[in-house]
Amino acid sequence: MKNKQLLHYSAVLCCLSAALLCACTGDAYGYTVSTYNGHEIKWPAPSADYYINPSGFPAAAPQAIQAALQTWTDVATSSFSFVYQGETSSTAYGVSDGTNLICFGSLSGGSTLALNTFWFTAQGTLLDSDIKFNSKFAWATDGSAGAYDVQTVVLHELGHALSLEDLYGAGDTAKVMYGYVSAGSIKRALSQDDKDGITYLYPVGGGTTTSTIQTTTTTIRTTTTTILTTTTSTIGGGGGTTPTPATTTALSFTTTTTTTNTPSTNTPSTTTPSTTTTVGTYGLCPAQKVLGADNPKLENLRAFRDGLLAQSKVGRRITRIYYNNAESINAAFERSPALRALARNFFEAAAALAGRKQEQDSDMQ
Amino acid sequence: MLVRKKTACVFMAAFAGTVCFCAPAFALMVGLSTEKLTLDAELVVTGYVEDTVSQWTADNKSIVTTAVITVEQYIKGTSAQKKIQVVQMGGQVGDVIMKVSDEAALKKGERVLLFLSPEHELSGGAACKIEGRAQGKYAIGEDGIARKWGFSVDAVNEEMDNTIHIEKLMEKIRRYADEK
Repeated sequence: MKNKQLLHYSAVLCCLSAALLCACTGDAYGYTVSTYNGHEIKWPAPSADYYINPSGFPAAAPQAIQAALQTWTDVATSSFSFVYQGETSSTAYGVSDGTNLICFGSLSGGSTLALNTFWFTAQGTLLDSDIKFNSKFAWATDGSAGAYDVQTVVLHELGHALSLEDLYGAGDTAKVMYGYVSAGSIKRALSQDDKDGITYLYPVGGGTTTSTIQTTTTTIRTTTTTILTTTTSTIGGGGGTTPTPATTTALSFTTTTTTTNTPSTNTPSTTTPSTTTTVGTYGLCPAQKVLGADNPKLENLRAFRDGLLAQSKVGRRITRIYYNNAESINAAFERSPALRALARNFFEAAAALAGRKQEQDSDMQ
Repeated sequence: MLVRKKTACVFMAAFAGTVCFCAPAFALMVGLSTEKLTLDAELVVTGYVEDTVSQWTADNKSIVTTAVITVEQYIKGTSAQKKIQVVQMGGQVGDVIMKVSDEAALKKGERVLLFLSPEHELSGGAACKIEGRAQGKYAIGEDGIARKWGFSVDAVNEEMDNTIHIEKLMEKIRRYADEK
């Protein structure tokens, strides 16, 4: 019986481990998708228009860029298409004007080869994406040694515009989304993993659904959360009011839905917590039992649960199994100090990884 | 039973190791060595991110984020200031997020080591900017390890010190600064 129970608990922990692994790396799929607070960042429709400002580019660059746009569009298993809208004289790089621009020019910070400035909503809906090549470096379209290949780099940057992230693994070197690009190297064709990435985001028949999933935070037992309600500041040490922390106490076994106000121009962000709703009774969270109710690492685990796990059926099922078995898991911890110690190590490692994932997500801010 | 415990430990260690090395990013840069960053920066500091505030620029076209850094120590350069403002392009205002591909977000509460220079474009020199964008920011963990990520470079540069103990990193920076 003990063995059977241990196996059961191990299965629950392994499911969580697998979920963490998949969520944090994406390596199981050979690609990594950008997320923001648990939302996949995607275009609202499987299409994005791009304009090219050819000023400063090598003569054949517009054709090379069009070829890169077409390469992503040609993935048969994906419904996504980049649509070339022609040349423009616009220099409105980085502006959220609904016009996606690829241009050439100087970039502050001399170490940047190419930059992608993009805009999206807190729900992960992409609004605008502009790509700029740094004129400080040598660019070519013919594979000249010592120059960066325009088509190779723009193909990579367009992958970012699709919400695919860089990969660094030893097995990733042939992929367009590999994080290192050398002068003189040419990589103008997608690997199967690159294709799988765009297909995952925009599958054929996937329609125009957006990734607007409401952020939901589930709080188990009484927890006190501090939320920064108002912030203002002026660059250069000017005026502004002091951030005002507000304290809200969530009730036991409740779900708290957090909503974010739509901004007005030049108005700093304001986040308003809404009321709470009782959704059910669970046993004491095993992680909380093992780590202690006041352990700040619990917040990382909660964010992981309410972000990535909450987005998928599998994730929600894992969460449900975990809580449905909370009492018996806790009882096992009581009986076995060794198991409790093992679980503590696991939860601490998982919290650290979830925190790391959140840091990466917050980098998107 | 013991075997199962060992199996569970191995699994957890494996997944932890795998995930720890995951560092998605969004940029393409020339890799900067610690020496180059030290020489380019006017100030190198360790400290804590006290607060961050994002707001629209005056022309309503961009979002900038100002972070207030409470300085622990100046590793290169000196100043009487105990707090430094660091300005970066991008951030979130309300429901809208602007992201610049290789800017390293400064997270409230985190301990950091930053390579800094005066920022003129947005603040007229009153605030600082991070040298080398994401390459100029280390997050210092509770384990004393300084890590940086959030960018990709044109080739592997073994002198980049992406993960290094903070004491060793500070020692290198001081040495490079003194050599200058």
